[in-house]
Amino acid sequence: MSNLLPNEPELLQRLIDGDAEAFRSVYEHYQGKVFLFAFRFTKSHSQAEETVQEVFIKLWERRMLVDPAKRLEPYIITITKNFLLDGLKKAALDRGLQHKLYEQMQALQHHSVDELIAKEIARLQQQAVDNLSGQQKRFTCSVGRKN
Amino acid sequence: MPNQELKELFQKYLDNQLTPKELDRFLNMLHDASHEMEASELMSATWQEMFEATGIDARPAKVVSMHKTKWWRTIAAAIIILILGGGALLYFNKSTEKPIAVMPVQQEIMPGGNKATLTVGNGQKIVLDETKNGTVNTGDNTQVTKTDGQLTYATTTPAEVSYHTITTPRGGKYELVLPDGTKVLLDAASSLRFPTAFTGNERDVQLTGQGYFEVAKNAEKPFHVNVNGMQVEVLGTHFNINAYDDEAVIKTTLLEGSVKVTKGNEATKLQPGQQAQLNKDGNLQLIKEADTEEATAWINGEFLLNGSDVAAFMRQVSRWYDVDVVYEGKLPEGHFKGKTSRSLNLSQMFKVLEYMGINYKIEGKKIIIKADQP
Repeated sequence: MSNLLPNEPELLQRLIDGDAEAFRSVYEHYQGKVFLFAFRFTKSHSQAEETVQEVFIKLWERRMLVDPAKRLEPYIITITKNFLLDGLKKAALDRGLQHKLYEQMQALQHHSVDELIAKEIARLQQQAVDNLSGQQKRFTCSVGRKN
Repeated sequence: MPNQELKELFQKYLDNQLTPKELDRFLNMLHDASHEMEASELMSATWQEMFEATGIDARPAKVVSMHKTKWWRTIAAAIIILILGGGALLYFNKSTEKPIAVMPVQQEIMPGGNKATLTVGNGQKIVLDETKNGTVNTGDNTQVTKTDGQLTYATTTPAEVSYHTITTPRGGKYELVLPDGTKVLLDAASSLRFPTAFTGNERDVQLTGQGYFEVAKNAEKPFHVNVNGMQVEVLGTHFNINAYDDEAVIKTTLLEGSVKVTKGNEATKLQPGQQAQLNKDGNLQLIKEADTEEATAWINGEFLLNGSDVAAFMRQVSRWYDVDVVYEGKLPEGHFKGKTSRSLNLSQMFKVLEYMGINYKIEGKKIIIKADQP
């Protein structure tokens, strides 16, 4: 199964032209992957969420660089990788960040698979209410989502 | 030339297996510009492995089997739904892969809220959501105070005891404080009949639908909840009864204290964390390790699903959103796991279903669930 958005080339042209609805479709399609990928590298839900925000804000700001004839995913991967790598490089120089990262990594390592799922679900549920609504609000401002 | 050390540390980092020393080494290698290209390639390979090689799409209407997948893949489905649904966290295990139907929701249907009708002794009906906060005129000398979504009965005994019934419609819920101080949360499409004072040696109430009880302690006056010929006897405790007619069993779930569930000659005593299930044939079964979280999620404004099939979830949706659900053809296969908020609008709720690959159509207040396409 293709991971392409339906009508991706057309959608991308609209994105480049500044169409908020097109941006929203792109966001909805790719944000899940970006989140999960970011979670594997940041070991933190809030940082993974932050990554999603930064990546899509960057995509919006640099939409002129999108090539509608090409798939968007590699471009999103590049933005995401760069953002995450920058974060890891910062942690290389910052003892505090590094310690925190180690703790987050350990927290994940010491739990069984089932336990982990249950815990993440509980936390995410809370965040869904607290953070994600904020995140959505933020996007609503720039996207003008109809509701 | 590929750097074997970086590759190994990278994999250990993904698997959360680095020691502090190794983590330091790993981060410093990433910081070294000479490794930039390789780190970037390793990350691309990770993306590939996570989403392409394993067939995980941005939308999880795919084979996501708990035991076969790594934990993060299962979470993948959950998280993605969570974000899209804006407050929902659900995943859906399906045995088949199929395209997703996108059906626009024509009109906004709001979730349930504080709605109930109070029927007093003389048969008069008071629509509580249209009644001002303050003292409720019941016409029978009972002192009742209404605040938002809550009705409180005074502990003073009225001259004449009568029976009141509070009824919630589909899409309604209400909180009630009985004359003895017992707190009852009534879910949608439910009712509770109770006296305006507990004057006898026993406290008897009658429930239909679903209610959560925090019974005021009074060892001398046992509290009885009567449900369809089943009786739950309590002294002072917290428990939930789910007794909807369209559910296969009546579930009594105990959180605190102790209760005795009786049906005919059968009786079972519950310990906290246990559940009694009464089926339509009148058989009473004790579940020693009950899913109390699932049984009481509604109190916290959640739908919590632990392997419910489509129909079981839809019955809850139907009660809370006041919609009728019909099935066209065979029931879609699969099971829901996870939570969603009961404060989502119906369109948001269906966004969740859409991403789980459930085909549906909305016609006014009727939801038509279509069979899985081959």
